[in-house]
Amino acid sequence: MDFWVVFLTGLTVGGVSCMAVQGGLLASTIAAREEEDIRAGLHHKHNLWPTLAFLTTKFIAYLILGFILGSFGSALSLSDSARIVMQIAAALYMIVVALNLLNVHPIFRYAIIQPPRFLSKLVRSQSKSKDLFAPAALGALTVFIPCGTTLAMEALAISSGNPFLGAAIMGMFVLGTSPLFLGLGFLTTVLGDAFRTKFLKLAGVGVLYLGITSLNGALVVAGSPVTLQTIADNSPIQIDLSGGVTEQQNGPLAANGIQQVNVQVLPNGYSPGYVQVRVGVPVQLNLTTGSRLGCASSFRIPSLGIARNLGPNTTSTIEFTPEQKGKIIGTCSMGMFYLIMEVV
Amino acid sequence: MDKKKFKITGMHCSSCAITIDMDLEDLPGIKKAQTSYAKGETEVEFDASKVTNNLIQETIKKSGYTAVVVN
Repeated sequence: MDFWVVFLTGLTVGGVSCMAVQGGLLASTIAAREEEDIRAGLHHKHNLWPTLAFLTTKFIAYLILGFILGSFGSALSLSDSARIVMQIAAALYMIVVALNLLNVHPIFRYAIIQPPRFLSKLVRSQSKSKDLFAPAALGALTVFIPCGTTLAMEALAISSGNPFLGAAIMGMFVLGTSPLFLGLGFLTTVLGDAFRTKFLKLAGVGVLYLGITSLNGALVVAGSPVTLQTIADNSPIQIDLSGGVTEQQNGPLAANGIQQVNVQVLPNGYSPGYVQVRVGVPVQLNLTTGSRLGCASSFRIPSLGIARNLGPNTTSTIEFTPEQKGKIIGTCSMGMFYLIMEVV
Repeated sequence: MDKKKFKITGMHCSSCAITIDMDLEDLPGIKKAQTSYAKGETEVEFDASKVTNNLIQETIKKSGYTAVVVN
């Protein structure tokens, strides 16, 4: 999962979209409180604490939201094919949001769901409250007035199909938006519209990247013959990013005529990520997990119809015989990490 | 009560629509403002004896967008 892209998207879009309405609301609730203080004879300004309270409850609210969305996604993905459909739908939605951010065509504006009026009114009346806890309550209520990019992140959280991943995605996004609320927001005002447009474009590229990798992941899991990997393999220009290092050559041929392939399942991928196996010789693929599990632990080989959910600290063995030369791709259920087995 | 539509440019997401609604409804004399991000327009219901087109446009401008009367 590309949490950094999620964070960066929050950071760039946060100053523009999210900040536009939420920053205004926060400012008005701080102002409401100040009036009270002045009436009570207190004259100090304290913007930091209300802002921190606002950000903290906002963060918690989005963690909970992410958890719920991830659970919802996992309930939807009862089968691998349901999950693939869900992931494709979420990915397409992200791509449309990105195209809107990139200002490709006004038609994409229709994809941005505007929160119902009663919700924006609810948040609005909260912002006028003079209550000491008003900023904190306001922070939590912002989940009800998501901007377009937030919706894209929510789609990503659903498609993660895991409550914890969902919470992590929403949490990272909100953390990304936070610095701008802590007084850095004025930068976007100072630097003006041109800068703001660039920020939106950057966020658009981030969301586009997330949408495309997500779509590609779904295609990989679906066993589609056309994925970014196969396109790259068939492209006339080959760029070798491995630095000339092949991680593992042919697995040792055991005495009983079985190829042993040992792979470590890490929280964020498979090591080695590339192995060579011989055609027509049975393969024993030993997948070893550590104590920390990630997305990579739900292992799939779409082309062979193999699906295994691996537990912590175990070695699971998958046996198969490669029938023809080419590539067999092992992946996690979201298609984010790959184990490429080249049959030679 | 008068009802007028304004075409708005400069909105970049649905948050902008919420901001415009809120700023307009803060004006005494405006009963209801309904801004659509997708259509890029806002529909305002107001008391013409208290609010003018000009004031509505100025308020929207202050929020950071430009508005022109449609009808």
